[in-house]
Amino acid sequence: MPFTEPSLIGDFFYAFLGILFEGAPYILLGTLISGFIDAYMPSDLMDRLLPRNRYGAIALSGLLGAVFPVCECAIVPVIRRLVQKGLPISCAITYMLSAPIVNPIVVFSTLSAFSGDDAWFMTLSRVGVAYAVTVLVGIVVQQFSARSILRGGIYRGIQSAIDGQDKQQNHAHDHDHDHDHEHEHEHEHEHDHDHDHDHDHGHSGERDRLVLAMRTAARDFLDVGMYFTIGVLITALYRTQIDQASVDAFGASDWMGVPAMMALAFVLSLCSTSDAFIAAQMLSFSQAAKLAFLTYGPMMDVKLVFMYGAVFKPRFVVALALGLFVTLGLIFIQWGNLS
Amino acid sequence: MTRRSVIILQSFALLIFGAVFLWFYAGGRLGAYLTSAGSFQIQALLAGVVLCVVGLFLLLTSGKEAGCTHDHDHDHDHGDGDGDTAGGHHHHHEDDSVGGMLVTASVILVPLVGAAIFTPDAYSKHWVQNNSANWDKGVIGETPEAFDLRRGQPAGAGAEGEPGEGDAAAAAAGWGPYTFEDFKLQVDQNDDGEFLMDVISIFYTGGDEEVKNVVDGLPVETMGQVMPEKVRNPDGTRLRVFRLMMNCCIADARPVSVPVDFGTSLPDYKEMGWYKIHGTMSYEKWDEYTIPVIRATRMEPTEAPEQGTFGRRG
Repeated sequence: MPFTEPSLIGDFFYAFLGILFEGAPYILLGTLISGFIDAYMPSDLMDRLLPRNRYGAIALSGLLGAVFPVCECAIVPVIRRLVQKGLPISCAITYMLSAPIVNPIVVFSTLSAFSGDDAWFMTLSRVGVAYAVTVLVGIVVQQFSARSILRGGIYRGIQSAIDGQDKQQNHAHDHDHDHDHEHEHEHEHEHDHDHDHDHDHGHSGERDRLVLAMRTAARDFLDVGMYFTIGVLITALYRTQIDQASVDAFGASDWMGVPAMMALAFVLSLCSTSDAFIAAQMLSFSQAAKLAFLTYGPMMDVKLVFMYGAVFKPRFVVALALGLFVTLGLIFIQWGNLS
Repeated sequence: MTRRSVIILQSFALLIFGAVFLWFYAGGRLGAYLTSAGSFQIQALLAGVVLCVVGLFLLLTSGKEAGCTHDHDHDHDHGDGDGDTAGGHHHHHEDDSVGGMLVTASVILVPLVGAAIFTPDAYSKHWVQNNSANWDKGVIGETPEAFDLRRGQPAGAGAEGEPGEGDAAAAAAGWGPYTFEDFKLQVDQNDDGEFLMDVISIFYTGGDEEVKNVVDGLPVETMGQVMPEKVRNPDGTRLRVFRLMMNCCIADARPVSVPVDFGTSLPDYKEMGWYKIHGTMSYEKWDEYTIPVIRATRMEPTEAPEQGTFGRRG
């Protein structure tokens, strides 16, 4: 039984909990995957799985959501860990942006929401534009260094892993010099120069990996959860304290409707599995404006801005948000003009 | 010690987070937040269980040294191996200080626990008013996710009749025109012979000409919350009855409503109160929309339904 009566502030608490109850299970799933990736996935696996050609790798990354369907809440912790495991930034961002749309669950929900003649058109348009734009973003991101995109801690983590691999490769040459006076610690060093140099210095065997996985998952859940919570607070504030009728006034033309719907998607922070049901009911907006809503929202919204902030530098997040807004805005305004 | 303290803090944060989920599920309150369609409520239950299990696991293993395969410089400084730094490795865990973890946990848990304690499990009339902009509009396009009278039509029902013009899907499915007999098969009646119709179903009958023609003039009983009618109510004889409809969670909910006309004067009522309404179905043309209107004969207060304020998703 609730302790309070409905009120303005009660509306806020109510919406906040609703979004949190819906989204947190997906974040938990993502962070558990992240923990197991951290503990069990070999560092070079991504290198082996992706095509050597970087453009091919980016194009393939844009389709990974079809095989590994992950929503936008779950994708951030997964990406964060995959990047540290060697997934190129360009591929990671392409996967991160496309997976919430280019996945079978979202295809099905979009088909269901837009029943009738529009269903396939809206669904294919949504998936097609999202794929093309996210691959484009990946190609653009490839031109920048990881250092200019990633947060310091994440970047140092990658550098540490690279340094570790380099040292492993050079181990045979310089190990004698490095360790001739350093063998006082309690674990035994065999140093046969063929051992797995994955920081398993005796005290960290296979049995510890589950502990490591859970600790990583917990840390990631709380890190990402903090940003998620801030985003949900803002979304709940908008959803409950603003007259929703004020949005309808922007539906008169695509010049106004497309950016208005993208801005709405940004603040509503809906799950990509359910946003099509909301868009379908936006009677005063055109198909182009609805498509803008359905492609921009899963890539960038209030809660995602804060969650992306756990991985990327703030200026990159801002640039990504603006770049996607302008690119998708222009595409769909032109789309509206043509149709 | 610092690292262990951080792990213990993390475990308590997860336990509190998970406990809120389990509290709402066990108290039967989750249905007021997440749709019963799909697996959202089960997902929330599982999340609560997993969070508590992981939290306990972390607590029980907090003193255990676990390997660290990531995020740290590996400069072979195997000096003292004092445990906290795993043999002199320089870790770059982004915020592994007790203070940092306290801030993180506070940002998550203060709003969560505060909201869990003070949430009313329902929206107020302010929210309903803020989301009632479409109450002067009817159904546009097809909306099968919310309207299942035709979709749920038993196979073969009315199959002997000629398919309705323009209804290729129904014809392809072997359905004939929608008839009163079909309707009776789908909708229960009370002891007075009134058809028990959900507000959301009533609303969507306005979007289907065949169904509308069958339902028009039938006696109905429905249940919902009532609000004053703000549009097309010159004589002040109308109310609005509404139910919330959500797809996933209450953040995507919207109030779906129909006007209720009492003919002469309004009965006493409480805004947002729950009422059973008895009357006859009729339809009005408002611009390009067909609006269902209940011509009420009586209205009686009732308890909120057990499943909460929500109509069905379809």
